[in-house]
Amino acid sequence: MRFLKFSPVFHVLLPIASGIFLLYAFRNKVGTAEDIGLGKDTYRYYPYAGKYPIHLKSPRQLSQFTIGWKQRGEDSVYLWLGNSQLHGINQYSPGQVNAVEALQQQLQPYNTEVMGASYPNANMQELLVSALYFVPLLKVKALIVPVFFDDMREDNIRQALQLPGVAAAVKERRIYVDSIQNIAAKFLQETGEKDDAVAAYTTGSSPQAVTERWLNRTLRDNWQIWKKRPDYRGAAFNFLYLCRNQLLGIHAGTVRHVIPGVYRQNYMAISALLQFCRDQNIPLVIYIPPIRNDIPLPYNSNDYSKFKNDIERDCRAEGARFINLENLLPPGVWGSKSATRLNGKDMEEIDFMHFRAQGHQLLADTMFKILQAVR
Amino acid sequence: MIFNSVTFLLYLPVVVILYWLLPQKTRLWMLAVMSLLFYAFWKPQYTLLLLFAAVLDYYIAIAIHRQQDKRRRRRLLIISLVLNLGILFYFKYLVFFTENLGDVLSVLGMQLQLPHLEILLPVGISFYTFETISYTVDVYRRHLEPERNFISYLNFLVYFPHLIAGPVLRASHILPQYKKRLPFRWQFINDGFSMLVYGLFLKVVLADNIAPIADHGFAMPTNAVSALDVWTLAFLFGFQIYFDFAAYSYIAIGCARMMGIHFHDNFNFPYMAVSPKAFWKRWHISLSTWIRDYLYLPLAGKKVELQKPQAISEVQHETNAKGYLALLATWAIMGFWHGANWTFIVWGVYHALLVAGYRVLGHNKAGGSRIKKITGWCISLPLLMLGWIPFRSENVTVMAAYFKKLCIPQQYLWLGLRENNYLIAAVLLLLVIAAYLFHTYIKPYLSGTIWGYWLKYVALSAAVALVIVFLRPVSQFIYFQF
Repeated sequence: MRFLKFSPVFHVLLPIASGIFLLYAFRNKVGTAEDIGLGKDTYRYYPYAGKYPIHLKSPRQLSQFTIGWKQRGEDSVYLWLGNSQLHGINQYSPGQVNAVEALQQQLQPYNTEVMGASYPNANMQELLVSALYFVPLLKVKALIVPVFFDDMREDNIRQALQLPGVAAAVKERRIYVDSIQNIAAKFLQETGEKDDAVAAYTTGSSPQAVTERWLNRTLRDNWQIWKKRPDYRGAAFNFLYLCRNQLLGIHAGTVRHVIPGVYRQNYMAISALLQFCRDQNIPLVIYIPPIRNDIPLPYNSNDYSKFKNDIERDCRAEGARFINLENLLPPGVWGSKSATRLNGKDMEEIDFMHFRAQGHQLLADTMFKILQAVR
Repeated sequence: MIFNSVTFLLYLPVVVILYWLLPQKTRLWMLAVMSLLFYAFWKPQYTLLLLFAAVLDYYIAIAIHRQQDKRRRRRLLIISLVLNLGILFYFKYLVFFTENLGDVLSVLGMQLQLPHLEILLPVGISFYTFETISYTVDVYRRHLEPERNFISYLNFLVYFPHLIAGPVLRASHILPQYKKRLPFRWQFINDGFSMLVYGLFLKVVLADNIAPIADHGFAMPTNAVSALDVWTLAFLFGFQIYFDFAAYSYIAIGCARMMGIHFHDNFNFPYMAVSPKAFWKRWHISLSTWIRDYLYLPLAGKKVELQKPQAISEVQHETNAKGYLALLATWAIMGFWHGANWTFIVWGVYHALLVAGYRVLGHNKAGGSRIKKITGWCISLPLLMLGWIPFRSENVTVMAAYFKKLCIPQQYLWLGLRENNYLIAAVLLLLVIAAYLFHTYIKPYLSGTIWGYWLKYVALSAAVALVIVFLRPVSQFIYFQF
């Protein structure tokens, strides 16, 4: 008892050792945050043309795309934004491609390229931010944007896209007050700085920032656990998410409703995007994305109908091309995923969002035809 | 230097080891140098300002003590107050006053081109100014002998655990501890380590992860949030600031404890308070006692006695107009101390009204039945949480819009935030209640038993793992800006 009461071994060293041991014990069980979100049945596919990406997972990759794009002759570009539907291939086998690469192959004879950029659960504010960033830096021939009902419920602008100027402008719908070029320049600079996980207080030149930056870099380079910290954090949040689903009985088919405040924010972003493309004279293709429809939709039907009608109406008013692709894909190209519950690893549930490679090919074919009409 | 950084976790063991190895005189020098280094890690140039405040009051306090003439003593005190508050005014309030002066003049039809000021607030200035003022006032009141050893005095002011965001220390409590060399005991390290890990857990695991949710909610346009959202945001921010600030206090107390130095507790489950009065006996206790001794009692015209460890709400209050005016003025100033914005003044006045209302209703007696306590808690908690709306609102217009929503029944019929936000607020409330019940009813039974030790070991191990995973200096402590 005396040992337990006073020993620093028991009160300090052992807890530190046990804490680190716990992290080592779990190190092979944590995947990347997005893999956890997508599930084991869906593969993240970001195609390349040679060494250079044509589908970006972060705006920071733009410089890599640009090198390849310049080498290929700086053709005009169809910019295709989206969420994980665009880069996720359900039941993937090697050799299969996603819609972006399939479209790129079809566009080759026309001296035109496609560049994809997609982020998991990307909401409309994030897609607007991306458009504001990419358009001034590329020769954009048309902009392709899916509008997901699910993502109208998402409201954060993630850190990789987060910067005071653009984010605040989007929030306040002030996008025309600052010049787009200025915003883009600031965006490039600040996103670059903020990409590091220990951003805000490790940037700058104060002794604190310099030391912290060096220590974090050293730890990341020399300690596997430190390097994997974002994945541990992802796993921790995923665990909470699974607990929530388990406790409240939430599953893929649970009906989603509109969240008025969030919907309003995202709708403002759609309106800003419509105005932006009109003012910049860039053809805009907005589509309602494919969804599995052989079973009841996980959406409140009134909310979903209103959502589609609103977007169609505003697209027409602003001269954008609106296409409803919700019935594009047959049931056979859809897949399943592990249930998002605590004991869901061995249970399967329907995946409403991600489809197989055949679905990507169909989507690319359809988009090719639409773009021909736009041109 | 900020506590939630790798740099600090390397700095701390070095200081603690040196502290215990060095002889008494050298250790005080080392502590002062290392504390100044701690401060200089943010902006080295502002260390001079800190040293100026220290030197100023060290000499003025000695001069006050030597002086027998009452008028001259008073004059010296006024010099100290004017200089200290003048520096605080310049760095913290000048921009606010300039802007408001401009607004007032334009309302009066006068266009005056006032300079646009950009002044960086030195971290911790509000805290160390209060500490140095209390020292000089205590010497003036003859409650305290001035410290002759400058290094001891310097350590009272700049000792790194409390330097940036408190607890607000009293010289009479700290200075004797520097003089008395305690023998090293592992118990100090053990206790301090537990508090350090607990504080880091509260900060990096809880507060830092609630922050983006609360920030995002408050960044939404006011027309996009409903009355229920305002309540939810008030609760979310209430938990964020509690975890954040209590974390800082726990880390500070833990660091000092490792060196055998005792700080009073600064938090005691404030959200379990059964009245607004009780809340201030549990929240930022060191500031509320400071405010009582150096602001409220003088304003209320009451005799100031030697400090007792009691909060402002425990003082026998005047229930006449003067007493209520003193209460109102004290809280308005306390609000203004938190920040140069009208919203903080509203926050202070809001709390004054809660305390005054509680007094008027005649519920200022301690005790009562369990049902009365539970009822008191059910009424107090939402009112206290609502107080965070002015505190967190960007400006008075936004704050008014939030309060207006609360008064419109239709605003209770829709929700503007993601479902998870309501869930997180509810889970956090349950966690706080569970922690309180565990602390009050279960911990005493486990204390000293083998189960108690093992439970603590498991909790510490898990907390260490989580702190390693979540430790990121992505945000400073909220109270750094005050």
